[in-house]
Order: sequence, then structure tokens, then C-alpha cells
Amino acid sequence: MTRRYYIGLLLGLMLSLFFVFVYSNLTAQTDTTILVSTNTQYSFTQVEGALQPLPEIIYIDERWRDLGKALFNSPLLSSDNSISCASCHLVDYGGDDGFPVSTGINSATGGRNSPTVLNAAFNFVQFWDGRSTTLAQQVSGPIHNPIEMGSNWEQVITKLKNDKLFNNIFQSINSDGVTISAVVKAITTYEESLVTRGAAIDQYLLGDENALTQQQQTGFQKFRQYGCITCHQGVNIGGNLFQKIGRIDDAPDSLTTDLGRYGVTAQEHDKYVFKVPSLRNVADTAPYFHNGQISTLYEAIQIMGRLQLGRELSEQDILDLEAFLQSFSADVEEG
Amino acid sequence: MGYFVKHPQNVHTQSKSQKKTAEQQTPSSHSRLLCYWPELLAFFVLTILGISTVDAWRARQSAEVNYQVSQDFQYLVSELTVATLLVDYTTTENYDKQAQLLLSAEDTWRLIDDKNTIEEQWKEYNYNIAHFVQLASMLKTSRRFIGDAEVHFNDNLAAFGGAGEHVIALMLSFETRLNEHIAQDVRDYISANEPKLQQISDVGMQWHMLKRHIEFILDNAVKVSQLVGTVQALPLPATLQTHTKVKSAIWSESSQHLYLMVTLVIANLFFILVCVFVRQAQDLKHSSLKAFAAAEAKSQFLANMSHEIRTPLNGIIGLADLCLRTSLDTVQKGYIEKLLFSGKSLLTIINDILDFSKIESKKLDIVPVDFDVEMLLSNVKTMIAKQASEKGLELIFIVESDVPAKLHGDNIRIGQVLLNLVSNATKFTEAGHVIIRLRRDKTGSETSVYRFSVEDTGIGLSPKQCQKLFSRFTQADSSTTRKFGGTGLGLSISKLLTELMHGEIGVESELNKGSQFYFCLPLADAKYADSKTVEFPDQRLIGKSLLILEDHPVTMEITTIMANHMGLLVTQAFTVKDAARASSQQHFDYALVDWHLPNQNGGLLLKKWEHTGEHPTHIIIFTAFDSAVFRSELNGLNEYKVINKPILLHQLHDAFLNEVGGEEFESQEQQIVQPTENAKSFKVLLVEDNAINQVVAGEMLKDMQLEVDIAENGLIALNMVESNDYDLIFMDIQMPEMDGMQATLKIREDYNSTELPIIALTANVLKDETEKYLEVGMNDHLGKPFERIALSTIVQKYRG
Repeated sequence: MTRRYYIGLLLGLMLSLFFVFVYSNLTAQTDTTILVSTNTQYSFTQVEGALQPLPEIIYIDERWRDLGKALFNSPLLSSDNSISCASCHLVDYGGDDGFPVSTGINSATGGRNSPTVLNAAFNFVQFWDGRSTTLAQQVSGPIHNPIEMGSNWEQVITKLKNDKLFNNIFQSINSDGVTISAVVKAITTYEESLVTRGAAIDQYLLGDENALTQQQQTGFQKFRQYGCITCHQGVNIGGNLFQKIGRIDDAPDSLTTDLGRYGVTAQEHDKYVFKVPSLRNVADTAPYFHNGQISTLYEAIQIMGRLQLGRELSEQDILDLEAFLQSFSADVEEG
Repeated sequence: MGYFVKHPQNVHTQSKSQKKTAEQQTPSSHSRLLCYWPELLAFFVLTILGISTVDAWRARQSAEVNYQVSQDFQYLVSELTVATLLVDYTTTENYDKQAQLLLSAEDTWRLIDDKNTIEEQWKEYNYNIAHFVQLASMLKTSRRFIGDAEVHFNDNLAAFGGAGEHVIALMLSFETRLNEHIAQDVRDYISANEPKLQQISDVGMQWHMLKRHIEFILDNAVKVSQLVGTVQALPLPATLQTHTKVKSAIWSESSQHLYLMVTLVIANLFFILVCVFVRQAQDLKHSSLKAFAAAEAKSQFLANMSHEIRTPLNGIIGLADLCLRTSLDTVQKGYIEKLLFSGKSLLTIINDILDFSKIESKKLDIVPVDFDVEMLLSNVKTMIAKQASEKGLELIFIVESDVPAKLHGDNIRIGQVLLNLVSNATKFTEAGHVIIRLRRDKTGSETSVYRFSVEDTGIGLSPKQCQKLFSRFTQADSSTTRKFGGTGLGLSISKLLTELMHGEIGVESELNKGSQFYFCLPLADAKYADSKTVEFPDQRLIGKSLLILEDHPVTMEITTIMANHMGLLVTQAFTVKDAARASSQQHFDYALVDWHLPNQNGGLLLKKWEHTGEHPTHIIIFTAFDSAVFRSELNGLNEYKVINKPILLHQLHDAFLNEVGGEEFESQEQQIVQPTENAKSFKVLLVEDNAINQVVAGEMLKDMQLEVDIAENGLIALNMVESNDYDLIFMDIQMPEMDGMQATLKIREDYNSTELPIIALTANVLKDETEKYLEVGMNDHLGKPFERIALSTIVQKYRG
């Protein structure tokens, strides 16, 4: 009797634990928010002054980065398999497409100039109006935008699963295979790898006085003196605050059709407010401004001087500044 | 044939209880599960508690996360506020830190679970700091522009006639005081001197640009300084502090809840453990009850068996006894005597087994009463003397003088133990003597410890044998069982009995040199002083001379001490020759003559004395033999008083006094009721179904010259009681038609216990059984097989 009693006790105990376990599993919350954490690490070097050099990548998960690169270049992310992220963000040509506004699926055109993906990791917010705070959040934006890639996650995931190659890669590096989080993590990791270190300005900031030409040094002098540097500062030479276009002088009509951040916050004071764009690789990212209406750097500098600085810049000033801006360009370091 | 079917009642109850246990063993699985309801309930509660614990754990996890998030957010907001206000400082050249903090704060904001409570404040905060950063950064540009202008004016002082300088001075004044009046002054001054100021454009300064910057500063500087205050006064940090506190409280509350749950789970498990322990205890109790019941059954079985054996044994012993009283030739007599002896041995064994099982099942009670020490020893003597004398052993009783005449204790049980030891000693001793000694070992105020020892000159025991001697069914040597017989229970019973009486039993022995068994008992003095204290020693004996003829030195010594104690003057003689010489030299008042002497016997001396006439006044023969043995040898001699060895002080004393009084000596046979005048009028009814027992008991009663009627069962007995007038009824208990108990109840309706005494005759001698007989109205009971003495004692008692 005693043995049977103990077996019964054990069974009862196991049964009740089983119930608890089942309950625990049934009620486990499946997190619906996409939480993506990449483990990319940078090493920043602090220097004197408003401008800071780009950091060095000291760690990046190469498997995720490579997958991200593949996804970035894959047209599977668009609804009709016609365009990829890389269609509008040409990494080797300044990280944008060179058009005033980009062309999406079915030749639809968007309202804004495609911003560069280079050094995007160091922007404090993403998009011209800052509607995303992180790269990870940003990823799903273009995929869902009907005039960009016009797709949705369900479609994208199905397509990636059906693609043998992608499916295999996902399976090998992610225990859950193809998931939204994995796609976002891969693309984010890839974007984090797009750092254009070694620009002339960075070499100069790090102490190489000969990295800038005489004219560029004069341009840097004027950049500081005229106040460009108030907004275009930090690691990304911009990209860390919002500012109103035409703060001092009224903006030309061509630049006031877009209400900017007002579209996100619906606050009166956010009208014409845009993220101050990074000036890194600015020489390679024409045309300029949020809608790409200004096609040359010379013009852009002139307009900025007038609208934001309240100065009529002389031709010499503009040329000096333009020369200086050239020093912001560099290529993506291959890991 | 009918012995085993005599207990229909018992058989019935047994089968019933068997059925009951069978039912307990195979109940339906449903009800079996139900009897474990505490465990089932505990498991149910455990499940509920487990689920609650999982919930509590989850709640605590999320509360912890919420608290962390809230704390982080609060920290980030305060850092962000500082970083934001720093933007206004000229030393802050880039806003990366502020931007990073803003980004982190935004990220953390998304993790806050209850956004709606602070959403408005967060939006307000966000707006204010964004606005502040935008204006502050632009102000820097404008100030830089004015700074440039100041340098320019200083370089070209003469050209502007002080107007530009004045504007700059006013701006500085405004910047330091941030006063609307000064702003108005600046505006007034500019509008008044507009044409003058426009001239600066000529020297490379663009007036309309400078004017825009001045206007921007005038419009926004106050706003920015106000914004500093606004940002600092925003309610968000305070709200967040409260929020964090609330989250912390929720966290600790949820922690407490979790601990409570865990405690409850542990308590529940503990409860299950307790259940297990309780069940184990119950199980143990159950099995011990079972074992107890088994022991009960065993003792019941033993009682039944002994009853079943006793009934026919009664027939054997009784008939053998009766047979001995008929005229038999020597061979037949020998056979019958051996038959009787075997029967009695068998009875002893059965009694032993029954005693043992009674003691083991704790059914034996010790009944202390006042008893006479001499009487106790005398009974032992009676039982053993014949056996000893047949083997030619000297049986010597020594009672030391510090032992009182009467003690308080269970004389029956003490006698049993003593008899056991003495009969063992007799059994294992081939030659020599057995000394029974009683002395006081320890004196106490109420009870003293008395030591009974039995010393023999027998085979003795090795120390190893001594060790296991008192355990059950052991004899010193298993071969002794064959040689000496016996159950091996005697000593264990003795041990159990002494322990029941709070005494101890032991043995001191040496192989081949004899052993000394002893037991010590705490006994109280008799509670009631002896009312008929006999004067001792009698005055008539003091100073009288006594000649003792005795060859055994110990007996001689003991007897001499006793005689001295009575005040007699003793002369010892170890041989007939010595005695004859002594008597020829001196006249003795008394002579104590041992009958059995080496090479000769006491008869020789008696013949000599009768022949010479020089004999002592009173001659007492002193023998261990059955008087019948030497009675034939006494033929032709005068009648002499005979006392049996071993002698006890009082017996010796009485013998001397009786000799004085000239009375006949008592013998065992004399105790049996002798025919008297009124015997004829005593009518006895024997109710007994067993034919053999009818003969045995009937013959014994008829021997006592009683009128005996026999009834075969209770019903017949009732009829006979109606038509006849009986003085005494012997009633068997178990009989067909109507048993003894029922019959007694019927008879007691008409006659009470003094009018018609009823004695139960039964083989069932267990105490609670005999109590039942007395309850239904019987006067007494007599255990089967009964001996003639016991029967006659009972008859005498009721004959009045």
C-alpha cells in the first residue's frame, strides 16, 4: 500500500506541476513589439571643438551584417520585386540616389529627397521629419510606404522563407529562422556598418594639419565664423537637432511646400521644422534639401547663408565653404 | 468428536471479522481515492497556488521592468534637461550629448507602460526643449553676427559716426538685462537712425542682415531666457519622481505578493508532508493493531486448545486416579501410576503454555494477599517431596529467623516460581541435596526484599548456558529435553512472573558442581496481624532433651538449629550405633529418627529400643519416603508418629506438641473428606454432557459418600432441579441444548446462591471467563481437569 501511495503522491505532484506549466505556457506573453538589439560597438575619439571625428567600429556581427547587406540589395522586399533599399540608397555614391525625389514601385515618386544611409546610425532621429528615432524603427517605413516598396511584413517574410538561399542563411544564424525581428536586425546591423571614416576633415580634427588645403582651412574658418557650425556640429556634422528652415530670412517658395515635422507632431511651431541633415558626404548627395529642389552645393550654401545665417555670402565665401565641405567625403570602410 | 465444533459462536465471529477485513482490502477504487481527500485537496490547492505564483512572478517581473524603466526615464529626463540648458552656453559647441540623451529618452519613453498619465507633460517638455534648442542655437549665430559687426565698427569708427556703435552698445545692454524697455529703445533708435545705419552697407556690412539678426535677438532673447525658466519649472520631473515612487511601491508590493505565494506553496508542500507522516503513523498503528489482534487470536487459540485438551485429560487423570483405588496387582498398579504421572506431566505442560501466553498477552494479574510463609513452603514441599524422596535426595528448607511468619504478596505465583525452581533442581540432581532457603535481603520501611534460593548438587550449568537460560523454549542443553523432558517454558515463566512482581531472578552455577537459582521479591509485611498467634516456642518443650538420628549433615544441622530454637537440648547421632549408645547413656524426652540411613534404617533402632525398653518417651519417625513404603516395614512395631522430610519449623514444633497431646499425624490422604454421619443427606447434581467426565466426576463424588445425580445438559438439569431437592450443583459450561450459563440463569430465577450453590466445571480457566460465570450467578468454579482434593475442598466448603 505504501509504495502505491508514494507513487500516487508523486503522480499528483507531477500532475499539479504539469497544470502550472501548461498554464504558464498558455499565458506567456508573446511580445508584439519588435525589440531589436544589435551588438555593434563603436569607439569614439573626443577632440576639442564642435566637430567630432567618426568613430571606429570595434565590433560588429559580420553574419548579420552580411545578411543585412543581402537584404538591403534584395528586391524581394518590395511588393512587385522591382526595387530594393539599394535602389534609392546607393552606398557607393553617397548613400542616396541623386534624384530630387526617389522613384518607388510602379514608377511612383515620393515627396522627399532620399537621405543618405551613410553614417545614419549617428543621426539622432531618422527621416527628414524625425518620425523614427532608431534605424530599426525606420526599416519598416519604406517597406510599407505604398509609393516606396509598397509591401508588408507578412509578404516579405513569406517571400524570404520561400527563397531557399535567404531561408538557409536565416536558419543558420537565427534560431527562429525568418522573422520580422531578424530582418530588421540584419538591415540595422548593415546600416550600422556604413561608416565613412577617414574623411579629410576627420584626419584634420585628429591632428593632421595638412589634411585640409589652404582654401579648405579658410572655409573651416568661415564655417565657424558665420555660424554654420551652430547647427552642423557633432560627429555627423548635423543630424542632432531639429531646426526651422528660414529662421532668419523667409525661405523661397520652392522650399516651403513641405510642412516638415508639423506632419508628425501637428504643432504650429513645428511648421517648416526639419532634422538638420548630416553634412558628411554632402558633396556626393546632390540634389539638396528635403525635396531636392536645389541641385548644386554652391546654391545650397548660398541659400543656407541667407535663410539660416542672415548673411549674403560673397562668392569667395561660398567657394571657400564649398571647398571645405568637400573634405567631409569618404568611402565606406570595408569590414 | 465434538471438541472442535463446541464453539459455533467463535467460529462465527471469526468468519465475520475475516469478511470485514476482506471488505477493507477491496473497496472500490472510487472510495479508495476519496479517502485520500486531504492529499487530493492539497494537490488541487497546489495547482491553484502554482498558477497564482506564476502570475505573481510575472507581475513582479513586469513591475520590476516598469520600475527600472521609470527610474531610467526619470534619470534621462533630468540629464536631458541639464544638457538642453547647456546648449545655450557658448562653451557647448556641439549638441551630440543632448541629441543622444533625447534619443535614449525617446526609446525609454516607448517602454513606459502607462504613457497616458504623463503623455501630455512629456509632449509639453519635448516641445519646450526642442524650441529652446532651436532658438538657442540660432541666437548663437545672431550673436556671432553682431560680434562680427562690433569688430567691424571698431575698425571703421570714423565712418559711422557712432550710430552703429551705439546700436551694438544698446544690444549689449539688452543682452545683459534682457529688458523689454531696452528692446523698445533699440527699436526706436533703429527706426530713428535708419538712414544713417543704412550707410554701413557701404563698408561691407549688410545693414538689412544686421537688422534681421538684431530683430531676431530682440524677439527671441527674452523668450529663450524665459524658456530656461519654463523648462526648469516643467512638472514632468516631479511627476516622474512620483511615477517612479509608485512603480517602486508596486514592485515591492508585487514582491511581497510573490513571497506570500511562495510561502503558501511551501506551506502546502509541508502539509502534504504532514499528510504523509500522519498516514505513516496510521499505517504503523494499523499494523500494530493487526499484530495485537494476531496475538489476541493466538492467545484465544491457546486458551481454546488448552480447553480442548483439558477435557479429555480430565478423563485420563480422573479415571487413572479412580482405577488406582480399585484392587490391582502390582504390575497394573505400576502402569496406572505411570499413566497418572504422564497425564499430570501433560497437564503441567499445558498449564505452562497457557501461563506463558497469558503473561505475554498481559492477561495475568498479580493478586497480592496476606499469606503464611510456612504454608507456602509446605505446599511446595507437598508437591515435590515424593519426587525427591524417590530419587533419594535430601530436601532441606531453611527459613531464616528474620523472615516474618506472614507476608503480603501473590502466594500462588510465588509458589509457582519456587516450585518451578525446586522441581528443576530435583529433576537435574541425581544425588545429594536440594536446599530451599528464604532470607531477608534488604529491609525497607514498608516492603523488604526477600530472597528465595534453591541450591542443588546437580549437573550445573556453564556460564554460556546460564545466559540464555531464561529465554523462551530454551533448556541448557537441547539434549536435556530428551533426557529430562519439559517444555523449557518453566524458567521463562518464572522470569516473567518475577518481573511482574517487580522482582528479579538469576542463577549462579558451575558445571558439574550444582547451581543456585534465586529470585528476589519486594514483599510487604502482612497487612493484618495474625489474630491467633500461637505461643512459640511452647513452654512445655523448653528444656526437654532430644536425640536426633540423622546421617545427612546439613539436615542434621538444620534440624538441630530448629530444635535449639524451640528450647530443646539436642544430642546428635549419625548412625544407629551412636543413637543406641546415646540412649543407653541418657533418657531422652524426644527422639527424631531418620528412617533411611546408609546400610541400615531407622526400623533397626526402633526394634532395638522396643527390645531393650530404653527408648525415649516420644519417638518421631522422620522420613522423605512415602509413609506407605515403610509402613509395611513397621509391621510388628508400635504405631509411631511420622513426619515427612523436609521438615519445617512449625511442622516440627507441632509434631512435638501433638506427640505430647497424643494426636495422630496428618497425612495428605487425611485431608480427603471422610464419610460422616450426615453425608447421606447431601445431594449433588452433576450437569455434564461428556460421558467420560460424567464417570470421573461422578465416581469421585460418590467416593465422598455423596448422593450424585447426573444430567446431560442444562435442560435436563432444570427438570431435575424442579423434581428433586439438591444441595449442590456442578455445572459444565459448554453443553448442547442448553449451556451452563443459561441453565444457571434459569435456576437463579427460583433459587438464590445460598439456597442452591452452583459450581462451574470448566476447562476454560481464563480469568475473564471465570468472572462471567460468577456474574450469571454461579458461586465458584473448578478448572478441569480437577483433582480429587480440589473437588473435596469445594464440597466441604458448601457442605458447611
